[in-house]
Amino acid sequence: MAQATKRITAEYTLISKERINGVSEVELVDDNIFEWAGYIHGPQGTPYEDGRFRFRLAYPDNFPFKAPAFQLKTPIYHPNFDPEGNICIGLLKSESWKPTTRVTQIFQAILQLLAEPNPDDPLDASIANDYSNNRSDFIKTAKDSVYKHATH
Amino acid sequence: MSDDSDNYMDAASFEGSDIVEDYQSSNPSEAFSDDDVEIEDNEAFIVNEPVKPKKSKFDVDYKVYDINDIISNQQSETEQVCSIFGLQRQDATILLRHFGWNREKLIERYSEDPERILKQVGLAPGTSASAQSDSRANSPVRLKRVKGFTCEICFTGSEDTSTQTLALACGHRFCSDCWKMHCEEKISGQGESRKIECMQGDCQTVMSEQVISQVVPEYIFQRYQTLANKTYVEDNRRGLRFCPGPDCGNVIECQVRGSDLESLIPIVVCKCGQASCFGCSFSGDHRPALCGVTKLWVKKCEDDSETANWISANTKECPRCHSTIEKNGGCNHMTCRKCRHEWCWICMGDWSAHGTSYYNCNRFEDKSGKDARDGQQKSRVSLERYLHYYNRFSNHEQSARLDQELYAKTERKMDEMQRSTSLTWIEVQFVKKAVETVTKCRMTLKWTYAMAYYLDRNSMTELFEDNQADLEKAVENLSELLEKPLDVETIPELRSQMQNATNYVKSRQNILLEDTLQGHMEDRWSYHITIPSLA
Ligand SMILES: [Zn+2]
Ligand SMILES: [Zn+2]
Ligand SMILES: [Zn+2]
Ligand SMILES: [Zn+2]
Ligand SMILES: [Zn+2]
Ligand SMILES: [Zn+2]
Repeated sequence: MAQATKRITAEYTLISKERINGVSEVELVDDNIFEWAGYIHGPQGTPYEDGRFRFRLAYPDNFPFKAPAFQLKTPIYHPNFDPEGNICIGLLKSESWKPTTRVTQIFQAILQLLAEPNPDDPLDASIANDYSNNRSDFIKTAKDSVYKHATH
Repeated sequence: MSDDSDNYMDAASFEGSDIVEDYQSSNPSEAFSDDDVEIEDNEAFIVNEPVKPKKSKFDVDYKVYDINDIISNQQSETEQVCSIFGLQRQDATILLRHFGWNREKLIERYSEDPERILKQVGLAPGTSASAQSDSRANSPVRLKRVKGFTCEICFTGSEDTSTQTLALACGHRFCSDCWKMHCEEKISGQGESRKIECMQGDCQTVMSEQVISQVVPEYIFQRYQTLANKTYVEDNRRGLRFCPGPDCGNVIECQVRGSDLESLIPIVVCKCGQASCFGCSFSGDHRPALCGVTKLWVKKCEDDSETANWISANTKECPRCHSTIEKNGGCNHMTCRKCRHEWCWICMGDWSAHGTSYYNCNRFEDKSGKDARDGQQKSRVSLERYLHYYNRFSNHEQSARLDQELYAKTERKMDEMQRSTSLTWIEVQFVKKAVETVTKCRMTLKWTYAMAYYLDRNSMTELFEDNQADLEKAVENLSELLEKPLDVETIPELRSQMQNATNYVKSRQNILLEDTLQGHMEDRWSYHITIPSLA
């Protein structure tokens, strides 16, 4: 716990000092260092470019030996997010998580995934199908979703 | 049989200190061997050696290992790999774990390209035989105090302090606390033992057992070894499986192909006494029902659990005076306390009808007994049919439990009697034997009902049901004897009655099992449903 607090505090200090492109308003939930919230911005040139998505990042007591949990609170039309906003990327999987991984790397991986969905390892198969076989429909639905949920 | 020879037997098992031990080493085909008779023919002192029952053609070969056997098996397999490739033991272990303890595959793949395989499993090059001169191969990874070290993971350490650190062969150095936390999360948090990697991103170097033991407390390392043994059993293609017995931990080795399960029921008995099926992992002896039938039946009972609960209620009304009667022993012969009416718990018919030459309570017939069961309002024939079999199935399960409860009471009474009379402990053991026999036979009967539910109606099935009825009647007789009050005067008579009844029950069980299992081999049984294959 002491190790976790020290490391997360250091990460928080770093992220507050040096802004990451595509991430804004990072703050603690209820002053709890183990619960972060903020916004992820859709990368330019993607259907998500006009949207900002509320996120939660929750750290376990034994961080960084166990991965934190990332979740989007704003609905998103994307093959690698489930309806609850959970995500599935190798970096955050318990079996492949590495204690040296920095929080900035997590954000970069998520921004990368928004720019390039991975339809081969989907959490939502119908969206993945749409993305692979019906790209124009996919783009339209994703944009509609952004305007409906992610532009305020 | 004379009382004397029987005393010898009991005395011998008693002095051999462990009756259960005798039973442990027994084959599941114990049911087929007339062990009692055999023992009585022998000299008393030979009996100290457990009599190995003949293995029947219905049994499978198997071995039972305890945890020390499992550990030494791993060691000898590891040593073989070491000697072939001149590897260090810890590296050979990592290789074997990676290949799921498939030595042949490991030897083949390693011979093709050692460097590539070492890299793939997370062993830095330099550990192979050709590179043994490399200093790293001879100097094991050790903790090291480093002055002015700051750990990249926990940010602990400063210019003036010295920190306990460790680096694997890859050279990524972190503080020993972080290694400990890392291993704890992997071992206790994730139950990982196959492969624990370096903490550095993108580094696949594996931590050896020797390194893990240096950084974690003893109890975590023990947990790691337990997990590793479990993984060895689970990954092993040789046909290993844990005994399902509570707190047992023994491992059973047995070779069964999926296609065998159409004609064979691979029941294995662990040293702890727990029987289980190697074909379908069922925790118990489900003979004579095939694995596929067992699976169907268990599923059906789960689906119909509400009905099942309703039907297995512990009380019923007397068919004549409707006063409530609670069943308090395994016996199905009920006598109403109020009106003295004697009736059968299962079919609710008159008991007198059961005592005659034809015992037909096991047989589902739409007309007979229907009136008596009317109170149980069944709407559909299929449900009624299912309930018929389920009722009998669960009744034997419940009766076995009640028999055991009754026995616990009897045992206390026997204890008292030993203290207050001239009877010895040995002289009251016949009750224990009888209860054991009744319990085992009720298990057999249970599964005959599961099987009968799926059988076509034909002359073969009728013969099956005749055997079932004979066994059931014999079991109920013995169960009834168990309910008789024990007192010093009646014990000699009761003993001889009970021993005879026990032997008779065993012989009926032999006949039923032998014929039914033979029928599986001859493909004599036809079912009105497709039995799923468990291949
Ligand atoms: Zn550290
Ligand atoms: Zn490394
Ligand atoms: Zn066991
Ligand atoms: Zn089975
Ligand atoms: Zn009555
Ligand atoms: Zn009956």
